[in-house]
Amino acid sequence: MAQGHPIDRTVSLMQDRLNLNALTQKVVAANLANINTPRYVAKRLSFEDMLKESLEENALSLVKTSAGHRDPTSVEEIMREPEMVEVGPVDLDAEMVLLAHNSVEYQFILTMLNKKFSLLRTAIEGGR
Amino acid sequence: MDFETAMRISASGLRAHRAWINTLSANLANINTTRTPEGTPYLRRTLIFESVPSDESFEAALREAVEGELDRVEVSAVVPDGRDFNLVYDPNHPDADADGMVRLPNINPVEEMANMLNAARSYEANLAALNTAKTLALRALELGR
Repeated sequence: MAQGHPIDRTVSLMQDRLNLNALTQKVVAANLANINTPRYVAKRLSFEDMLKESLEENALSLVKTSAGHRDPTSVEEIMREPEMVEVGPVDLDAEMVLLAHNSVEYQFILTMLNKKFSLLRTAIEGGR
Repeated sequence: MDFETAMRISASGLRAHRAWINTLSANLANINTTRTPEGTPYLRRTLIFESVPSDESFEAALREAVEGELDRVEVSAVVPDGRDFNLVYDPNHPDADADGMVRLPNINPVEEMANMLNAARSYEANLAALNTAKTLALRALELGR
């Protein structure tokens, strides 16, 4: 949880992202397993677009000028509740690209998480 | 969130496509078979793939709804397809009828080979997904080292 996290929200954000990558791996596995199943419809997680939107909104830091304005959806919220969408017949190339992309992303975030931990360790040891 | 489900789903794909390759091999092997226990020439077999929920256990139902939508694949049946036999004139054949016609299985080797390629590629795709899941799971173990 980001709120009340003893260290900061980077770690929990990365943790959520890793969970999403693991879920994407399952979605791709299911699509590939059913590549020859008649009438099977390929699935995707639809959070990416929402996430981009939310990040853009946050970057531009929208100001609520009226009480009627809706709150921009928080990044955490989007990452915790991914939606599944159906995208038509299974496309082998698209699935393989997503598989590779997802794998690289997962390992990238693991690396960043390791860096974060080593920074924290440095801080705990007082730079000794 | 685990990689075990991903691996199980990929394994179901591997199993199904291996079964398909076995069936295609059987079709090719029996391309000239005129006798079977059923008394007819060999009937070309075809597989029926069916997607089934990846995890029907109670704990899966407790988990979030998105994951419940993921399907693994299963071979629900191996059935003979309803094609007519090929009739070939060969009066000396022991299984020829009164007119000298022999009934042979209606199997097109080109069709079987094309299916075989499709099955092999699909198998490889599932294998790639399985290997990726394995690599990621192993990398996650190195966290904090």
